[in-house]
Amino acid sequence: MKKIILCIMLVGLFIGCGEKKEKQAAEKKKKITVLVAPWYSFPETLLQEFTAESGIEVEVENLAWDSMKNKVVTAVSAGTSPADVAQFTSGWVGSLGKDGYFEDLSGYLTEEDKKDMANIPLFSYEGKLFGIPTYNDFRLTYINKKKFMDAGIKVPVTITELSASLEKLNTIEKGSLMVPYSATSATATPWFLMTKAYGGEVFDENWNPLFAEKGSAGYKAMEFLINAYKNQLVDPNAVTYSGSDVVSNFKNGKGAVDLAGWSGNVTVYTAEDSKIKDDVQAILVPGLDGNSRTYSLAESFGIPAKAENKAEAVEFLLWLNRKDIMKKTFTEMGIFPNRISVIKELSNEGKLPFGDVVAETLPKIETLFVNAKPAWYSEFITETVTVINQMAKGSISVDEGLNKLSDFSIRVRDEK
Amino acid sequence: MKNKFVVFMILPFITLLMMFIYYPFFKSIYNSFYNFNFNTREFIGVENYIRVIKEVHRETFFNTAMYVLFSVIIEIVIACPLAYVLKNQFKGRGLVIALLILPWITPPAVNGVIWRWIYDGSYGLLNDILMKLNIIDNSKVWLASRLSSLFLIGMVHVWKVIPFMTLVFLSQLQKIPKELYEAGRVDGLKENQILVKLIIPMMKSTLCLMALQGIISAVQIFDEVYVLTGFSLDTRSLMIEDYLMIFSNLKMGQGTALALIVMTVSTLPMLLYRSIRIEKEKI
Repeated sequence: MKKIILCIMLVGLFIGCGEKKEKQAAEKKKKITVLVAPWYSFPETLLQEFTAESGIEVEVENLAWDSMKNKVVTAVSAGTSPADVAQFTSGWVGSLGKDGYFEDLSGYLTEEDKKDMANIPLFSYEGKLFGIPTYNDFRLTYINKKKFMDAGIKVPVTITELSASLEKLNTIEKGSLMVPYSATSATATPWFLMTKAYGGEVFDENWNPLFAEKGSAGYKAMEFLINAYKNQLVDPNAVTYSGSDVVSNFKNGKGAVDLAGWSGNVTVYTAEDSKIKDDVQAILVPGLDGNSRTYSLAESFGIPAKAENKAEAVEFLLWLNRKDIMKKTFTEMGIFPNRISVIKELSNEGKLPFGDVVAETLPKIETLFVNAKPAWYSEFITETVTVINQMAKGSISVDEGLNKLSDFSIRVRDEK
Repeated sequence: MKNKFVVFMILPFITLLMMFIYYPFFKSIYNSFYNFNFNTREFIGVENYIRVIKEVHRETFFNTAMYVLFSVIIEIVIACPLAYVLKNQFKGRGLVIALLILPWITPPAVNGVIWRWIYDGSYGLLNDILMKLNIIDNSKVWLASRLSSLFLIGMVHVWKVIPFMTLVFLSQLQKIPKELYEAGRVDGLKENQILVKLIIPMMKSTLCLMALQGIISAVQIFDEVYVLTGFSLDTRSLMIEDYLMIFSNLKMGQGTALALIVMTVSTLPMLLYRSIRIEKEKI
């Protein structure tokens, strides 16, 4: 009898363990990890909505931009996966993407999707797509219209008008131009944007630098920015400001012009907690002779090749790019939609602040460079922000700085 | 039997050491001779070391040397007398020691953020205090000039390291017999003379060790610099240069070579100290 009971207990235990293992496996299969920057702080209700629809739980890990990039690079170098879904920057297309560390996602999107989504080429390499664009991060100029009105200045359309406006505003309050000059990645953006505004490009199609020549658009753009700092049109502390500092300061009423603002700031600056919510106005980036140009630094989500739950990760990415969800991530998180149809719908529904300006900007959005970002993009950015920081502090002149940067870009280009 | 027991006891420690210290260390030496980047691996001999010497910004060597110089001198000059004061029993001594430990246990990045607020050129505490004391008329952007940035970042590091040094000095001071102080006083020495003529010579080896500790931690300075001034060349340390080489420029081989160079340089003073001690012991 005892033996029978013991056998039953052992069988029960065995079955129990088996069931537990199966249950654990099922649970494991139904949970994905997502590694993203802090501005993707998905509301719990939104993630629950996905779980209710798909049965897949989502665990989001938010890391600072640089730490997030470090984690991805470290994990893939070690032959592991940092998460099932990870943010993928366009600067990795020629390295992590090309070398097979991220899944090709081109097969998961329909032709209709691809036409509707801006920035697909930024994350593509030889027909493969390594990241599905999530944040249509093009640049707009924001002004504090109250300060403009108080100073009796009209909205600037040309660079000359912008310079004159800044000088006039500066007679009332110092530091009217909000631009970062610290040696951090956001510092390069205003220079790239102003180079386009002056009607030029940073590199030609063969990656020859176009900014070292006096009189070139890149040179003029840099002169504009460095002179603005020297003439105190910018807060002297800007040599320590990052891109986020500029946003929080402008939102708190400092300065009058956020020259190269994120597109997502249309919701940030008009949010309830913004001190300028009634005074802010998005405008087209002032350009030479009024010809406005802008570019996109879009962000995307990819799936590392070693991810454990690829099918679930794909399901999450496709859900995230659904039109209704994209509208929610915009209204609830300020993630500027990547689908042109969604932008139009939001604008028609009156849910897109400054919808008319955004609509006018959309056809003007260009890629940063003539070609897709090169493999040495990160290196170039680090050197660019280092040089801009040095020029602003007066350690080197614009001439020296741009020549140094030009020599550097030729060297890294030839090395690769 | 005894030997077997000793081997058994130290085996886990040796295993962990092999796994987490020696294996990565020797693997790093091996990797430093390769040009490797994800799928690429090509043996290039000492080329990485040559490239590092050619390409590393010269400023980073100077900046790191300045951090070492500022830090080690200030740390010892402050920590030693502080420990001497804390050696005495007084009301609230326990609280002072507890407060002293606070900067030491604060994570370096948090430390950097606190000091960023203190040094801020618009609303920073430092400007506020100096203006109230009529030392300056207008707010200054402290982190805009090279020397002041280097000094102020060095001070943030000092603030973090001083508690540890003070506690080490304090534990050493407490080992010195009371009779020695009394003998000094009987011989007519004042308190500061007791410190300089009796105590410091007795703590020479601890001072050397702490100086070495100071050098090693200053060579490895990263978070404080990164949070306060980003990648600015005016303040960039060798460790930040190494970080940029590996994580931003994806030059893994060169980054490994630079890390090994930095490690070797920071080990040199320790080797020097050991060789001097061995020589002295022989005499």
